[in-house]
Amino acid sequence: MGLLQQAHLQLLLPPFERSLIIDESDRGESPAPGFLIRAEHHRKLREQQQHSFHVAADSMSMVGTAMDENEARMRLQAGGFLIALDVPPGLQLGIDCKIYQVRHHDV
Amino acid sequence: MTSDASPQPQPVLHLLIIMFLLHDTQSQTGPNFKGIKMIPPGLHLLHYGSSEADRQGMFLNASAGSIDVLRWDPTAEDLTRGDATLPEGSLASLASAVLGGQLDSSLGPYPAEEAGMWINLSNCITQSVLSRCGVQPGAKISPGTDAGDSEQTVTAAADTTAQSTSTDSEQTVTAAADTTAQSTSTATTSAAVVPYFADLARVARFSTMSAPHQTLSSSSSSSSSSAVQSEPAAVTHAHMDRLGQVQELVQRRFNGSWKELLGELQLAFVLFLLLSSLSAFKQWQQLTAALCRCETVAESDAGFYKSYIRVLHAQLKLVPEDFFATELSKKNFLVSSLSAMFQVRIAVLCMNLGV
Repeated sequence: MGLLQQAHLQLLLPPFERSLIIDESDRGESPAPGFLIRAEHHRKLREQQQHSFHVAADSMSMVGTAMDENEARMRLQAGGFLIALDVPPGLQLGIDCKIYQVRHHDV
Repeated sequence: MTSDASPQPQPVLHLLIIMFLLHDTQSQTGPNFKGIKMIPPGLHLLHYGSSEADRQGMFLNASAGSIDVLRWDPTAEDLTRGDATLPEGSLASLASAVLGGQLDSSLGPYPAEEAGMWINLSNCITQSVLSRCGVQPGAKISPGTDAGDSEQTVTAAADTTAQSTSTDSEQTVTAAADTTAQSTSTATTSAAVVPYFADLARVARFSTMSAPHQTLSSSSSSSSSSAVQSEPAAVTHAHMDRLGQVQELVQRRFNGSWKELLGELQLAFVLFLLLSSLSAFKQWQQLTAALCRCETVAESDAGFYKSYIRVLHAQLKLVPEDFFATELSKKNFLVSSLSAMFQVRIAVLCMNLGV
């Protein structure tokens, strides 16, 4: 990535996102056009999403998350609830960017 | 001049490719799944379906302690509001059970680490944006098709009505007056559309943009009553710098509020991303292409430009990292749009540096 292009990206991006600019020439590849999003950042984000949602076998209680009890209580009190009754197995139920696949009962 | 914002020949392909990243955020539930808890206060989009091809959605307004109850109707094979289907009294007992923690083990927590992402994708979507597009919180949203239920259909109907009732003397009005009448009738008709069956899913009705040369003639003719013949240079400039086109849309459709425009842009993106709506994709594509080609907006309205860059950046974060490199997707509309934006910014930067 040329210096001018990098300086230009710095101008375009808001301050808290400027750290996401990468220099593709480090990897010996041709620079991609437009915004360049750091691959490592995405990979870490996805790993976080996958690992933080380990679902227990017989319930929806989540284990393995880094949330402590106080934080959980605070979030519970500050948040709302969505109750979905009689949802059939196989249905994909999502909220915002998260999708829950309802599992079959006999699994 | 960069390529125009005309629809790409393979929008469905782009849609499938961009949706790739959401596959990573799927989780399987247990058999006791009864819903979701810890939903942060604010607007959220609930979406459901047996596959990506038949998704429906619904906006929900969550607040501290709010409980939205939905129930699967096996006859209609659809989720319905619990207050309409549950027996009297059971809703209150269900609410007390939820607040008392008795259903805690059956409720999955809202993913806290994705809350920031959702806020960045939806922070400009307000109640007025949803009302204007006909998808108020609680109303079911269908992805729809490309052809139906858009503002264009309503506009065409309004135009037909206006033409059939016009008299001979009215036919002598100028093109500008026609445009004004059309936009007025469009706004009136859009506001008057009320769904007869409130429970049926509806399709978001997005704004339509006028062509750049049309906005040029309408703005020029305000000072002249004769038919407008725009200068070729002005027409070329209008196609190069889309600021006039976007400003016309903001004035006509959003009462001068740039934030409402960003709200509709975000709404189009999330409906495209989460409901696989082709009409929403085309709206997002059209608005993005126009906004990236607003050459002087950074100088004329810096606050809006910064907000737009933040919105665009949040959306591009969901694009696969090889989206601009793989053979199938590297010739997408984002390349030409972002290239146009970079060219302008680099030119401005060079001018400021005196290069």
